[in-house]
Amino acid sequence: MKPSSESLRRAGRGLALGLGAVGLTVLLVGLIVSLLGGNPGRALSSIFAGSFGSASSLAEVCLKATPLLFTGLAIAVAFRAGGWNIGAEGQFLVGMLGATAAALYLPPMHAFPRTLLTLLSGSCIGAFWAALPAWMRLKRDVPEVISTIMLNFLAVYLVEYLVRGPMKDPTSASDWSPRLPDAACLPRFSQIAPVGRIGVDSIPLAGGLSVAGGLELGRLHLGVLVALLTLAGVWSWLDRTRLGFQLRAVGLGTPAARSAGIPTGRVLWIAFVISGALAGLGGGVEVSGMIQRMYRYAPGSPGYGFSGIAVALLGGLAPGGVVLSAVFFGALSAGCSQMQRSAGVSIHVASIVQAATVILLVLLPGLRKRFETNRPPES
Amino acid sequence: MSNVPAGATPTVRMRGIVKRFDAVTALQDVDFDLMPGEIHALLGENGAGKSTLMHVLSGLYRPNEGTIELQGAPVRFRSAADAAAAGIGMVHQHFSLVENFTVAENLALALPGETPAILPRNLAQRALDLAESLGWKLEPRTPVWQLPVGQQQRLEIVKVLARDASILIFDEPTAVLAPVELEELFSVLERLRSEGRSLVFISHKLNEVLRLSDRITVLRRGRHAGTVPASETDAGDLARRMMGAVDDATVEHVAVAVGAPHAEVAPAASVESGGDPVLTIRDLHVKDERGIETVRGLSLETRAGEVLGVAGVDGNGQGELAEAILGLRHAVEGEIRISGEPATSVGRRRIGYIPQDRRRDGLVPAMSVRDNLILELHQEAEASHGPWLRWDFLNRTAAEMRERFDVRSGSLQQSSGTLSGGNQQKIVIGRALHKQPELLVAVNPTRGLDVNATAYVHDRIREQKAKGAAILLISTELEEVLALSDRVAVLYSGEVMGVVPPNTSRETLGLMMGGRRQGADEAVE
Repeated sequence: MKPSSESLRRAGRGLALGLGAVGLTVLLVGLIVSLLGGNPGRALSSIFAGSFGSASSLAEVCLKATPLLFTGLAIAVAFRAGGWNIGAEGQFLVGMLGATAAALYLPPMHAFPRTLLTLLSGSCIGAFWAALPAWMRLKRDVPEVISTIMLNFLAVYLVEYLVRGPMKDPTSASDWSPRLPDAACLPRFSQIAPVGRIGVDSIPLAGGLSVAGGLELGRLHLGVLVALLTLAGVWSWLDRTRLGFQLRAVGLGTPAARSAGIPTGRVLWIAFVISGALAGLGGGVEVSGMIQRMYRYAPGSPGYGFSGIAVALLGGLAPGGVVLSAVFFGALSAGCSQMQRSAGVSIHVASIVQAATVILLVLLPGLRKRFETNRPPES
Repeated sequence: MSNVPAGATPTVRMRGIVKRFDAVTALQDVDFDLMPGEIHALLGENGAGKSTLMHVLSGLYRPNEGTIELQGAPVRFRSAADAAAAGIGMVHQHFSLVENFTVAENLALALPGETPAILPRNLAQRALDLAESLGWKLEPRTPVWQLPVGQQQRLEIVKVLARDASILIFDEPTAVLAPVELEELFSVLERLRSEGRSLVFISHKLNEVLRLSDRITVLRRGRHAGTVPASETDAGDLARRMMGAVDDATVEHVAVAVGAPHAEVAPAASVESGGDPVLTIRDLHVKDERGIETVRGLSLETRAGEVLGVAGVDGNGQGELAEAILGLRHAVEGEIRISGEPATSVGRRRIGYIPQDRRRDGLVPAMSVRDNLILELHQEAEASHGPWLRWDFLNRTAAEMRERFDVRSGSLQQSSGTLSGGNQQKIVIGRALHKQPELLVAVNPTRGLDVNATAYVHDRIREQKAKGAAILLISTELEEVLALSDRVAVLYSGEVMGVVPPNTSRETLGLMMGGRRQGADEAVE
């Protein structure tokens, strides 16, 4: 086995997984829409139109994929180290909260540091929210799966309390915070430079379908750029640094890593803090780039933290895979909004399909492993 | 003392038992008789086949060849339940209790036929009465995890008795007990014998075996090495049977296995050889995961250019000793120094470690050969610029290590879990030796390896010795210890029974491994 064939094989496996995910999604959407009495053909074509059908729908996909990229990376980092962070949802929410608080209550200053502080604040609170369960696991042996899930609830109701009480917008009847000042918001690309669309809006295909011929850049906010920079950072951190290497060793074989002198507890601790910081940063970007105020999310949160688990698993816990699967689920979500508008099928189909796809796909590696353990080792 | 009626039908009669696991023959043509009302000890080193033979009797394993008769009638067990129905009960070394269940619930579980769908309050009352008749007070509502080990063992014994077992097998029952508990266990075993039951007592502790049993069967490397009445033998005879005589054939075998000329085997007068002390341990106390002190006041010294062998039966504190030296386990008390400095302040760079469980502690099987080779190296200063790893350096060094230590893999990228045991061990050894350590700590470094891989490991150890490293070789393979060491420390119950030259008689070594201090044997005999 040569190194090149090894990496080729891995790429091939990734491709097969991706095609499998797309195929399964098409199949599941068709099935569910038929069961609901809709027209599966129309539903599928509207999903395509709403995701990859035009330059503006492609922009929509990018916006939906951005928070998923953050939470997907967050979970990938923790899972790689063998820490089961199920709390990206809570970390994302407190990240939103931290960003909102910084934006609203810090003294006025220039837009750049103000936005930066807004995002940093979200990230720090997210890291703190993840540090708690890591501390409990390392010092008191509390299973992190349980503590992170519990902290999700704490985050949800903390948000609920704050947007109804201390942080409530006094000028509105709704339970939400005041709008963030513009100086604390991530601007759209069109606000900082005269950019519009790259390429053409759409290229017609056969059968009334069309495919995006470019990207509506003007609609995107700078958070997309922050996400891509974060991706590059996490990628090189995992692949090129000592800690990234140790993260993998601890996740795949804690006893051997410990015997080799790697401080396994410290590595797990750092993985958790970085995981929380990434999820919190995602929350900060979402609040300062997209929604620009803190809503009462409970109990129907957008669930970016939970979807992040799906994103990370489908992406094979590797940054490259995570970005692809974030785009995939972003497209599914954007496409299903379009489907609701034009085919009258509920957007919740997207959540069902997303969950079902992941369950079916994570079954596959499990089955493969089973098969491989029956094979005798090479000698 | 023996109350075995002469000429009676044996309760159990096993003949010509052969048990193979793949290519390994664990039992070769073993005979075993158990008489009514006797305590029959089964004695032998680790891996001699004691537990395997009893697992055959209790229906867990099916023999490849051989017959079993109960009260003269041939039987063939297909499962442990079959054997239990025939009155055979085994108290395993690792208890089979549900830790979250109470005492009563565990007892009810042991009596499936009697457990009603809705559990009444007086659940397992009969079993509790039984315990009381033995003088044991078991609190039925206590969850098992709250019980001390000795109590758990009592529960396990009551479980077996409640099923009306007339043949009771105890697998190393004293390993987990404190001295007081030991006395109580012995008196119960004697009482069970007086009720006419037949007992098998598996042990490697000579004094216990001699004290308690009526007859003793010794196994050595899966073969029957004699059955003797306890009244007609002594510790020396038993030790000889356990270890085997040192004859030319054995020396030849060892020499072949280690690839050495005879002259190098067992240098006789080297007890005070070697250079400056490298590893110095004074009065070390270490606890295991369960919080039990398994290293108890141990002192040792290893010099530069010397192999100090640590012999002893498994579970006498070997793993904890090694981990304490490496700083992986906290020492409760005592002091470990390396070249005069406290071990905790000595970097990993100066200590090479070959852990005992290769696939668990030695390797990350899911990672590549390269990643496993650099598992220690990547922590060194020259392996990184700030937080960034120098992959060019690491890749180059990993390739050199693979070459130098002859790791036979398709590529550096191949997953290490797919390699043979020998090649996996070469990775572990490469990691330990690449940095040219002052001290090498090797725990059972050849366990599970074939002859060639074993010879490779032994060559590397001798090479390190020649280079002036101090080597602590902790091994349960006595042959290995004797072939490689300049001095041999015998470990028993976390203490050193004595440090002797490797040409010491097997009898003396056997006695020390069974818990007699060096010098004590002369006093006794």
